[in-house]
Amino acid sequence: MDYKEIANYIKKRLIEKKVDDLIVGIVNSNAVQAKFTNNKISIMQSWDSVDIGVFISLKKKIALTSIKDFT
Amino acid sequence: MEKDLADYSIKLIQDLDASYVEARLESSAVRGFVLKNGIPQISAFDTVLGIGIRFLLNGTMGFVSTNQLEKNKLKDAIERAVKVTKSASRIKEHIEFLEEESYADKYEVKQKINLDDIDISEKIDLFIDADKGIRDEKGIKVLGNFLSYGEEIVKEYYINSDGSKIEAVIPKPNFYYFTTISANNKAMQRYWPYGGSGGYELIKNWDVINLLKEEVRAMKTMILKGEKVKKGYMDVVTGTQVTGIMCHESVGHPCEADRILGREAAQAGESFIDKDSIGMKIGSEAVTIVDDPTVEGGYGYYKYDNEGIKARRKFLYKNGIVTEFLHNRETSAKLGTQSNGSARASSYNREPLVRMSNTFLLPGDYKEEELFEDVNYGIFMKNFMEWNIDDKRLNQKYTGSECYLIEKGKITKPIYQPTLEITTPVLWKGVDAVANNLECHAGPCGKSEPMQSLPVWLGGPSMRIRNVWIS
Repeated sequence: MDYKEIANYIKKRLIEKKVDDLIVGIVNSNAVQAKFTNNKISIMQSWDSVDIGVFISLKKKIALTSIKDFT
Repeated sequence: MEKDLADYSIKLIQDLDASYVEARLESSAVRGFVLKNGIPQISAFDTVLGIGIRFLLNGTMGFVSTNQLEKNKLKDAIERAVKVTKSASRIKEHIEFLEEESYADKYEVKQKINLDDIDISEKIDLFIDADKGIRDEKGIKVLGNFLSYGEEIVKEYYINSDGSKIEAVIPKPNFYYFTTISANNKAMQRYWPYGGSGGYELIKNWDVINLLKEEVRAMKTMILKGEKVKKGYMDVVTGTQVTGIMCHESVGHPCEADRILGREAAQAGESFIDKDSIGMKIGSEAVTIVDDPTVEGGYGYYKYDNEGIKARRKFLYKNGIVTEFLHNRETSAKLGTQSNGSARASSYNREPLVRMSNTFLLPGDYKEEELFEDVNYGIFMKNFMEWNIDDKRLNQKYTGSECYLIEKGKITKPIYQPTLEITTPVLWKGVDAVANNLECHAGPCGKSEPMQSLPVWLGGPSMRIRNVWIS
């Protein structure tokens, strides 16, 4: 899936809607955590995520959206 | 939902020699807005769909989550997670799960008034009117009024390698106010949340406009007429909100078995209770406190926990005796018992931890006013402004908001912000009478790192505590 394409599509549609200001951000992250309990590892956690965040202002009002559903 | 991916994940990890695997596919739609002094500030609309998979590989626990739901990406994420989990096996804490019953079920919390059927503008207008309502109150200045409305509909598909397959749909509307007023060179703040599982009918039942008006009138009375109470030992009658926070903080948290075992010591804290404390006398005969996820309409409602265990009522203290801890499959196996269905995760990308659901003191036979009759000198702490409690949940304090003096069995005058300082055993051993006016209140409960904030109910009826320190 091309997340930049999705972000550009969102930007284009919001410009068409004549919002005053907009930010579209993509955060693609991979993280690992080793959780220790009493000097032993109790769980190894891995996170893999993509988040498209959208900020708009329109007539001095603010709206935020976070999209984590890419189906 | 991509249910086939959950099924695929289970098989893939089983083929990599896992002794246990579970997959939780979760979608959530969150909508909400905030009003600052009656002006809409931010509206938020979030949509999430992801999968969280937890597994046991030779006694090492691993967890992986992703919202990139393409088979090849999921496979990559799982294989990376399996690799890092195997790398931890030298210094692992050996974890085993005991055999548990498996379930196949589907359930949905019905909405009498569908949240989607009410336009967002109608919801915003309700809270704008609620803000206007408190500004009509004479004799005070509203320094700040912050109103937040939210609704979340979570759909879950859970399967595990023991054969459980559970689907759930739970909608949860909520709101809270954070209001600051001043009068007579004094200021006062109140924060209180409301939440439940159901539809928009909950918002209607809470009667937001009148609720806020009554709250501000009570605050005004406390500011203008409240007197400082003289420090000392006296009897205290707590209202349902105060009883609720006491149940949650000084009973629910220390009964979480992962805290007892030290699993969350560095993040959430520890417990004054240890693994051998079952049977320990901690309160009076009048004190029976339960955690019950099956209470319909509850903000902490669920029918199966996030490990596929059927939910049930748990008696944490029964007639003043520590009876049961809150368990997930990891802690129950360590203490040689079965899980009691207390594993919850705040999202698809969080591991299930031992958590509370709806925690409350069971009601007694007294009417609330009968609790005052036998008090010669004391206070009625109807609700509270702030609280804090130590890491082991032993020493705590609660500062009252709407409070009254009780003299010779009667409520006589408002009291300004008294503070109850107490330890957990003194608190619960001091309870000699419990009323029949059970009420539950909503709250966000936080735990662990990364933080998991979960909706819970906390509550109980009014109760009387004898001879405690008030300042």
